[in-house]
Amino acid sequence: MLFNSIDFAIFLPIIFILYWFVTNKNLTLQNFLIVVASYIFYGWWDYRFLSLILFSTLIDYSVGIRLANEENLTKRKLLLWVSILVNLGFLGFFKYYNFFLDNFITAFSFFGNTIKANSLNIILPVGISFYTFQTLSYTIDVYKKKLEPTKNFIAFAAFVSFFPQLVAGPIERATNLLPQFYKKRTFDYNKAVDGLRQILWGLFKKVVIADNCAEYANLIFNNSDDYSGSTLVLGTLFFTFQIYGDFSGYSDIAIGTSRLFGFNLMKNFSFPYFSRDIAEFWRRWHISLSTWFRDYLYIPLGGSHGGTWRKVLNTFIIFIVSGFWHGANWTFIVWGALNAVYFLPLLLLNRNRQNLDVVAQGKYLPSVKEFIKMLVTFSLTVLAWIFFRADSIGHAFNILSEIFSVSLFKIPYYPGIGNVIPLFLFLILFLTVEWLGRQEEYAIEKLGMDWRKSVRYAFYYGIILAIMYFGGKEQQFIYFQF
Amino acid sequence: MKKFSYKILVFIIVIPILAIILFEGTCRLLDIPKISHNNIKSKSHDLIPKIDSNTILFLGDSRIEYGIKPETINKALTNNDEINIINLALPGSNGLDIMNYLKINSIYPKIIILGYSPNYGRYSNHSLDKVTYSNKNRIEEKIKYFLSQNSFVYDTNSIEEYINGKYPYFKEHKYDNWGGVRVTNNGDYQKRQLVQHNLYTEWSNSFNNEDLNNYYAVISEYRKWFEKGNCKIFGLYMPVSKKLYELEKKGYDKQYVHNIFHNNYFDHSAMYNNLSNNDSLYFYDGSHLTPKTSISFSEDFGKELRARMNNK
Repeated sequence: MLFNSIDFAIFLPIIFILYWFVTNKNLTLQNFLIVVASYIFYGWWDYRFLSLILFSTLIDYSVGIRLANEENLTKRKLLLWVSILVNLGFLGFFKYYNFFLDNFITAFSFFGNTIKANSLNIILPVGISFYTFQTLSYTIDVYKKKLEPTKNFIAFAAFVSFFPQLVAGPIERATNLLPQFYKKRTFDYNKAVDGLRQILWGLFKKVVIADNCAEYANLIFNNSDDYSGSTLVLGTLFFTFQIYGDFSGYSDIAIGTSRLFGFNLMKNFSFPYFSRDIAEFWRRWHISLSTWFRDYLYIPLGGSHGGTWRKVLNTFIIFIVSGFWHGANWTFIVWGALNAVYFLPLLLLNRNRQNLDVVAQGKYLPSVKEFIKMLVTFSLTVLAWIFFRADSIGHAFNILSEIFSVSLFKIPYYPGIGNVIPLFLFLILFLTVEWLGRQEEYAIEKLGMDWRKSVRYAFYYGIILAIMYFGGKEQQFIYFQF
Repeated sequence: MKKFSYKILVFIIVIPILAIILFEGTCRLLDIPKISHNNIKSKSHDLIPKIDSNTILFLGDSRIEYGIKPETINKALTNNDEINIINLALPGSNGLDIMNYLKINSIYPKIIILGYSPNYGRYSNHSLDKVTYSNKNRIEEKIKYFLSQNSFVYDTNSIEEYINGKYPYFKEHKYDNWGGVRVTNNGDYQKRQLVQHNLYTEWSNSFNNEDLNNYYAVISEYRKWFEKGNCKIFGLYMPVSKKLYELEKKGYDKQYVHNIFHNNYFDHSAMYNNLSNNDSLYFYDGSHLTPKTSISFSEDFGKELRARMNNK
């Protein structure tokens, strides 16, 4: 079920009413309702994949219980590996099987050998990378004794399948989300209103910004051979805003929806395009994944401790794995590696933690220096998105070679460019609101709180009208494919 | 919770409903003419699931849609209850997407009568082969169509056209259960036929033989496929007025088209080609038959079809 669908608009109020008016006196019943709702939400795409979530839930729940009663280190390690292998096994099969097979065949043919093997027609279960990582965080934390294993199966099933963040995150840590299922939730008016506001902003980002940008980005990237360097730059900029609007919009809707049910999810985006260097960008982009890799991969590998080569190696590992997590394609690996290249100088010069605050805090505008830093970081990010969006490495290099040619100075053109003005106006409005709200949890969290109620309502209705009348063609959320 | 429910009620239900009522009321008070739309998606959802081996299926563009009355044809076939006649012709369609849907799902109607004109190579269709036909989607499309016909809030084009000084030509589309449509216009015939004349002139100037040849190739392929399932395909060229006939016959190789349909081809292109574009008795605009003419045309065509079916 898509957040931006009629189905969800009907589903959400029904679950909300059942949650707060019917099951509110019994915590187990309330959690059970979340499990049922989440399974319906997920099964709406393809009910067959529910078995995967259920199996994952059963395995990790059992492993958690066994870990609680097991002190023998070897056996504890064995149990942990069972969980890791099952979860990553599913992920590997559904997401990476064909990729490895194809590359294996290519590698052998390079040495003059031919292998006959057919790739499988595998459908990737929606959101498998997200819930796999979420359940893994549970077993790893239980193994490390950072978390008491749960004996409440319903609460655990609700934690694994919690519908607002099931298919595209934020990837929650068991230490944050699971305990929330043990406590009785009481309705909090301010939290619920705040949640609705965040949902509204998320929908605006997705439907108005991302979906409109997607139309032009798809047009330009899918016919990149026909366009000049300047048009390709424009296409890449459209994709830059598409992916941000799409993914952060989803996160906003997920977080906002969770707040309606009394839950707090972690922040997933923190205005990344206003970053002053790449290290800051990665502290602000897809925070739940970056911190997951930091806690469960980078730090166990030694992090930034050790010699220079160890630092370089660890940095490349974490960025490449992060790229590969996004998809079974060399383009994502190169995208990850490119970001590692951007990041390394900062790490080696020990300047990766120099921009921990919010840019131009307490001011309306950034200084010239800050602006230039933001512009450089943004440009590097845009450049990297070319690899992320391209169909293949060759495709990405073709685009880059056209961009860095004289055609960069041509006037951009593609069919329909005349209709782009409303989108530009919305992008300006969007960036302005994001800039004004950059110190908050999400852009419109406090925007207009000191306005007259009628003006504030008019602003909200304006957003609703923009969603209704200027929304792009309905597009799947990009991150579902990951 | 009380406060929240109250605010939600006011913000999401009461205020928007009041605003909608106010807006719709104002539009009606200002007498803004409402555009009457074609029923492409909702009609497909209604009719595609009804197609079976007893169906005589009409496909093609709006000329077929407006000009063929399924009930009249059925009468001409002496009220044959075993046969259901469906007019699934749609504006801007050459029917290939629907044929592809039928092919994918191995549905073989008794007969497919495929509209044809030299413009058919340029139609991009409505991707109806990629649609999921379910009750849920059918109801959703019906609601959307109802809103597009009746609500200024839902269909803002009417207001945009009003602001731009345009006045919609079609006032009403009344569909029967089998896809036949009766259209009411605003009577501004001169303007409408000029629009159509300009369109045909543009088509004539940009005529592309390659598109048409591709289209021929696909029809030939489909014809072979459907014949395997005992489904015959006939071609039908609907009448047009003299001027438009002259404009569109560029690139039209009669014998070639006959060959593609294996001579199962009804060519009525020149039936009224002695009439000028201005003849509003026969045409809405020089190319679409009026309700009265479409009934008489359907009667004649039904008899012709019966004779052809009896012969084969």
